[in-house]
Amino acid sequence: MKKEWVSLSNVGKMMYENNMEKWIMKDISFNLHEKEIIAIVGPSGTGKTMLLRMLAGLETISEGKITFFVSSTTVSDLVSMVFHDFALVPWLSVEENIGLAVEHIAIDKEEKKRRVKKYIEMLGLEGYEKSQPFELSRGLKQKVGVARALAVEPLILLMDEPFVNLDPLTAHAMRDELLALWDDKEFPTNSILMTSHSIEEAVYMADKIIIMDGKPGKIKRMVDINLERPRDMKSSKFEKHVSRVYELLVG
Amino acid sequence: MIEVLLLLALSAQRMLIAYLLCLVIAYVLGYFMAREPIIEKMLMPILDVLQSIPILVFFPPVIYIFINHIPGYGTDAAVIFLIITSMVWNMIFSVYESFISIRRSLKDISQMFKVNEFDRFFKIYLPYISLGLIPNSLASWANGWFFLIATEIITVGHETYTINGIGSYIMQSAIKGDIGGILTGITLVSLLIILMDIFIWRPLMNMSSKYIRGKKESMIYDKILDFRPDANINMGKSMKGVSSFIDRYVLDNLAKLLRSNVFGRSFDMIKAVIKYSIIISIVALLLVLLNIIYGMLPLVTIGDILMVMKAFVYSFGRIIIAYMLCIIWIIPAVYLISRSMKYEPNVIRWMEIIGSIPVSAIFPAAIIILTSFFGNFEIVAIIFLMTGMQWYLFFNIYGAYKSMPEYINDLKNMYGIKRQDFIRRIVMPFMMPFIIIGSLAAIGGGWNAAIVAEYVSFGDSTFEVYGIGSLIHNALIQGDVKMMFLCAMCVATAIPFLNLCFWRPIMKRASKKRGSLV
Repeated sequence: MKKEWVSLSNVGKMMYENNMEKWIMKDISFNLHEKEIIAIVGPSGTGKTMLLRMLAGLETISEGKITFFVSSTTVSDLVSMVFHDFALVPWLSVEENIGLAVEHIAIDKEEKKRRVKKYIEMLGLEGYEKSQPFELSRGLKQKVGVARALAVEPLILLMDEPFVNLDPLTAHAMRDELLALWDDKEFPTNSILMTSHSIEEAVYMADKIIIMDGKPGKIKRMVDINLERPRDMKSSKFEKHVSRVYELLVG
Repeated sequence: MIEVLLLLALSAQRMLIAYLLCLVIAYVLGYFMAREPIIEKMLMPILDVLQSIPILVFFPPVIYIFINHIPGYGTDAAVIFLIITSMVWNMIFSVYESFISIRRSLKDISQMFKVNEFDRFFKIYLPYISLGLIPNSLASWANGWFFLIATEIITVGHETYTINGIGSYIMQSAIKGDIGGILTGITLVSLLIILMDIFIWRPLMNMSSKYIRGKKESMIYDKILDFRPDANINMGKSMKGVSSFIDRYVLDNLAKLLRSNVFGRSFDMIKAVIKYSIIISIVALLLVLLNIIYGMLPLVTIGDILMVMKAFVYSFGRIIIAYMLCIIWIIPAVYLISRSMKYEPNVIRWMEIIGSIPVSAIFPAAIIILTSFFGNFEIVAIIFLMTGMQWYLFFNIYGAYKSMPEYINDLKNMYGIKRQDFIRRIVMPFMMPFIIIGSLAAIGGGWNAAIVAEYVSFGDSTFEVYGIGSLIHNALIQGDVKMMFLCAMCVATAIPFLNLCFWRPIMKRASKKRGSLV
């Protein structure tokens, strides 16, 4: 049995819209285990992003419970997030953007600098250290976003539609790079929870796919993807999984 | 020449001091308004009323008080105070709005990566707010120049009040009939403004838009579109403090009593009037209190009030005439300029340059030329008013016309829509909100111009036409504090009242109509 990192039980989110109660999602329960990638798919408005934001601590939980089974003393940061709109500070350079994120970590200055440098190299951003976000392409911007999220060396990485703003080729390359990093023993991040609009992407990356549907959003199905990595998008097994998820999503 | 440059430096120095003070005020007030709901609720309605008042009417009473209370520096303090009141409101609102509307992504980052208070403030909030302040600073400076020069001009001829500066230099040259002096003065001011635009504001604006909006902007009509009246119209949004209190505890109960078919549609109007009256009476009460403390006001008689109201009607009438004359030249001009692809960019560039010269600098020269030409000061005064009003209208209407999407013309050709139908049902609804914003700004500008234009003293001879402007001038000369305050109060209450009861409802309707078009 694999170790659990985090467990969600009957999580719900309610917000006020024109003074009316509106439930974004209800009864969300699942566990994220060690060395696992989970992808959440489903139509817009089912609360996928909200779910990640609640896990990241950016939003409050209206109902239910989110439990982390790791004490925050053993790792400096439990979670970190990659935003789909990059969320870079426009007037700070690549280096400074990443530096801002590691600032709070209790390591000395030199260590912080090394940390920033390490992740700049890891994502292949050498030469762009002093660039401003508006000088970068979308792909590079998202690389900075990923580098920043990884630089805090979180146990769990949250990614909110991380490749949606990239062109298909860049997105494909980034997925492979990320998976390669994740395979590396040195890599501090253990599990990944991501949202996606693309079923192919979800099947390509995840060990488990959570299909959400309805308003308020609920978990419709969970599908395990037991395919060897690296996965071949053209193999019949892969295509079978894709069409199965597709059927479950639509049906 | 050196002497003129020194005077220009003196004027610019006043602007700079005022601007720096504005920055401090804006950052501090904006910050606390965003932080403390109580301060927000208290200040919002006050700032809102203050920013919609044509502030030049306050200059005579202010200079009178300052001279009597701050010996030595009274005049300079009064000018700087007035410039601040012309610059500061949009800056405060900008800081406040930046604080509360800071992009979610920036907030997310601070929270996600546990950014400490210091970095949060200096690396995220401060740059964001400052970038938002740049376009507002630009508008504030444009506004400030107008008032700086106007105040310097107003004081010429009154020994106690005269302020040395480029404005007074131009005015004195005009009195002496020294055309060369007038031209030197105007050229130097314009040169300074254009140089500042090229070397300070344009680069700053480009930087600001690069980081914040990702689009380039430079044209002066952007500046004018950004102008304060926009904020006036948003009164509803920003008045929420006191206003929602009144709504909840007074009006809703009243509504239950009153709601019947008789009131039906006009209910919103009544609500607005009641709300406004409550706010104004609070302000009036404060003013009365102030007067009792200072003991400056002898009892005001009904006669005084009637006199001020009569003067108000005269001035307002003049402004309306000037407004209509502006519209008469502007609408065909915009149409003709837009049709000529060849000349359009040049014409607009020249208009931008002319429009960026503070109108108040041209007043003195215009007096000489026009009075000798027309012989009738009434006509001259109206032309003055037009110079103070027309650019707001022109650039707003031109901007609106240019921003009309291409497909609107295609629509006309494709479906063979009749010309008058096309104008009445498509073009006008589209342009209406901009025309209203422009009109509002123009009328505000008209009031400020009226204070300068209705009374001009040339050494021995004085030109004046009856109105608030001349009344307030004469009061200043005679040291009649009561009259100065009455005039100021009259305009200060009437303008927000008009905004609330006239401009706001039509703006609401116009935006709704336009909203459904696009």
